Amino acid sequence: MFGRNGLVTKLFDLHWQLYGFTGVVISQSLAFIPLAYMMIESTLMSLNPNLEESAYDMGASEATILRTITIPLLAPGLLKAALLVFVMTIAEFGNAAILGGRTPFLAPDTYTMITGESDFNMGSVLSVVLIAPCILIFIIHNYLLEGKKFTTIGGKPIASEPRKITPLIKVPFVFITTVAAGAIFVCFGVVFVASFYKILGVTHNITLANYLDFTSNQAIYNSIRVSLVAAIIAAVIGVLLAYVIVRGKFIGRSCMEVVCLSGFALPGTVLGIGYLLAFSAPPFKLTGGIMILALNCVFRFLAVGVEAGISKLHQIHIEIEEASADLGASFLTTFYKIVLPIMFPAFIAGFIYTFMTAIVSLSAVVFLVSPGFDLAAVKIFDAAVYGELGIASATTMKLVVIVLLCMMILNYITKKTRLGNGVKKTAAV
Amino acid sequence: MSVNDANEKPMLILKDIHKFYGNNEVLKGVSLEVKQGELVTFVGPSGCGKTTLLRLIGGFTDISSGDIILDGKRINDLPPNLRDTRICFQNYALFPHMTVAENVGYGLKINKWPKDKIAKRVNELLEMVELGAFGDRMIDKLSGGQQQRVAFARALSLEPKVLLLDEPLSNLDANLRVVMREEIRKLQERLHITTVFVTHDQFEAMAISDRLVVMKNGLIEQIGSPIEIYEKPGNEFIANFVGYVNFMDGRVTAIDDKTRDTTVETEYGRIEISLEQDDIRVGDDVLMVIRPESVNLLLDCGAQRQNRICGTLKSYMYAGSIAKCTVTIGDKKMIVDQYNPRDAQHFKHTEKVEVEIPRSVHLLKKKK
Repeated sequence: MFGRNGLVTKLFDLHWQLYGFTGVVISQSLAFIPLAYMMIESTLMSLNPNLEESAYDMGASEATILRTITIPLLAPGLLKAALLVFVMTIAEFGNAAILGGRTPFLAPDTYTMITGESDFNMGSVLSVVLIAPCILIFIIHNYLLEGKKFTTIGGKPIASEPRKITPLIKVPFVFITTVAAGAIFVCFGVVFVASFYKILGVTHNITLANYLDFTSNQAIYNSIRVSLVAAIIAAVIGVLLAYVIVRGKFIGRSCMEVVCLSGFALPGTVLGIGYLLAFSAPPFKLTGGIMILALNCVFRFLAVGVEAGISKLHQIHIEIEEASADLGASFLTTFYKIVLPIMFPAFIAGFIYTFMTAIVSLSAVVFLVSPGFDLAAVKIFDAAVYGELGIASATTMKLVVIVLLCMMILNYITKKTRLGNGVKKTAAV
Repeated sequence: MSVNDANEKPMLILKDIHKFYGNNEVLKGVSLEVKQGELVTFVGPSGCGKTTLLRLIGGFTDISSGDIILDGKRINDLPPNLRDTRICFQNYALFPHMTVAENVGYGLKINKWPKDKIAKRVNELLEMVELGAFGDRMIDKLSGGQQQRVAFARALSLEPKVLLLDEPLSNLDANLRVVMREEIRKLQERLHITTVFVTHDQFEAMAISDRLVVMKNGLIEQIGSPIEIYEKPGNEFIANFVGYVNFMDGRVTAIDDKTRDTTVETEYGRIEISLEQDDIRVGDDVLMVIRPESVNLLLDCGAQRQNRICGTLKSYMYAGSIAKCTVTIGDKKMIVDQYNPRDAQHFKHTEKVEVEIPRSVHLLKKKK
């Protein structure tokens, strides 16, 4: 749209271009709005509506409630969301690489360093630089925010009734959200349209060729295979690990939890380089195949399966298992007959989430693909870099459809099992 | 008590209030007057509409039709921040990011009181709820009972015309609940503040209130003092709701116009009562409302005396201050509570007993 020959650029004869700092900022913001939204939503949901009502009752106006009650109480959640988006943005690869133009960015430069100049040492240095802010944020999050959590006293759950909100607050809020949502929607729209042209804005024949492109379909096929394998492994290991973490009593249990969840916190770029360095030589030579890609995805997204499992397990009282044992069941029978069925939704959630995330992830796998075994996300990236926008868009559309399907299934399951919050939270962590 | 004085004006009037959620009518025409300084309790099983009614008065829920009049002014359309009502939520809804003093002073600050006055008023309020030394504490460093007091002090800070209490004691343990309800009642009487209380606990309701409003399915079943509700319930539901009750069928055969001595013929014999209600006529089919503790349980059986019926003692559960007994009379089961059970040893080994029905039993007219 805003490229050198983009729709808007031409239409308004702009001399300004999206490439560079501004472009990356805008695209990254749009990319992470949903993540921030999910996190803040879950914080808001846990906010007792009686608190705001109390303030209202004491004579506070809408704006005052927002200022004195809502925002202070949401502050930890907001800060957390901001920190997370910061970390994700630093490590984010695709947007910066495609839109960065001549401005250097950490993640894509690391990529160039390794793939372009084969300078593994410099690449490693840059990845260490990438890790630093993550660790810092992790510490801030765990130690500074921990004490700031506000506990609310239980009571009967009260459905929050929508209040009338003064136009003074309503209008700007609605405006901002509409613009943001609109921008995201337009992005999808343009990609959809672009997928039917060889190069949007340059050629004018509508064509389906992009969708039929062999390399693109091959890449999608590969992606599905890798993601499926990764999802199955991640879900199985996730459920087992969750069980061990919640029910097990052994030294280093919390350490294990941190390690399990760390794959999610580390920037994909770093994990990708790490795998590249670790597994490119015997005895663990895995590069160039499906396994290294799948394993990489497993350990990056394992956290989701584990967290879903943990939150589900916390809902099951240990007495249920004890009752089973009391009735004469052996440990294995109990696990098989009681634990597994109850944890099944967690398993499915972990499976679908891993599949969904793995199939679109780019930052780690871009280091690990080999010629002849392309993945969809990498294909999109390459196509975009080489200016084959039509193919990039078409491949994107295919991925979007797959992800949407997954989300629908996930939504259905969460509705059925009320696992929603657990998974959403993890998705946001 | 002053609250029943005729010259007390109504502080809060509810006129034919209806409330719909979609097609679901949760309040089906509720009317009530609450006098200045009175403590009125909405009581009823869950889903009866009592909390909805309280939220309507507070302004948190829109009213579908009807009028809410506070101190002579119609307040239907006023938002909560402009109403002179203050609510105390069940979960207290204390602001966790503020100290005790900041919580109590929140409303004062919002209403732009000068700082020194806020400090003075907050101190006064905290002294009143016996939390004088706790002003600087954070909320999560308080016990449940203390949090309850803070919430109460906060609600009182602006001297509301009506105080709304939504099950404020249900998160406390049993002993503390009794203590707190006495404290709330004492303060309420001292401040002479009009109060609407909501609870599902009928004993709490009876202990604390000037008047009870018994609700069921969005309608008021009966309004009356705790004594009226307990001793003269309007129907079977109310009789059952405020405590266990034995019902016995009968027919009124005679009423003495002067002494109001009344005879009720039952399957098990003739019961003489002194009638205190005027809705009963000779020939009416009635249900006698017999409270377990009003029945006298006697060892001897056989001698025909007034209001005594022979029965079989099926169970005798001795629990110190009380013995819970089950007596069958024909195919009818009657629960008898014997307080101060002196003859426990005897009853333990007896089957034939006699129950004495008091002359004070209330009659419910059967619908024809």
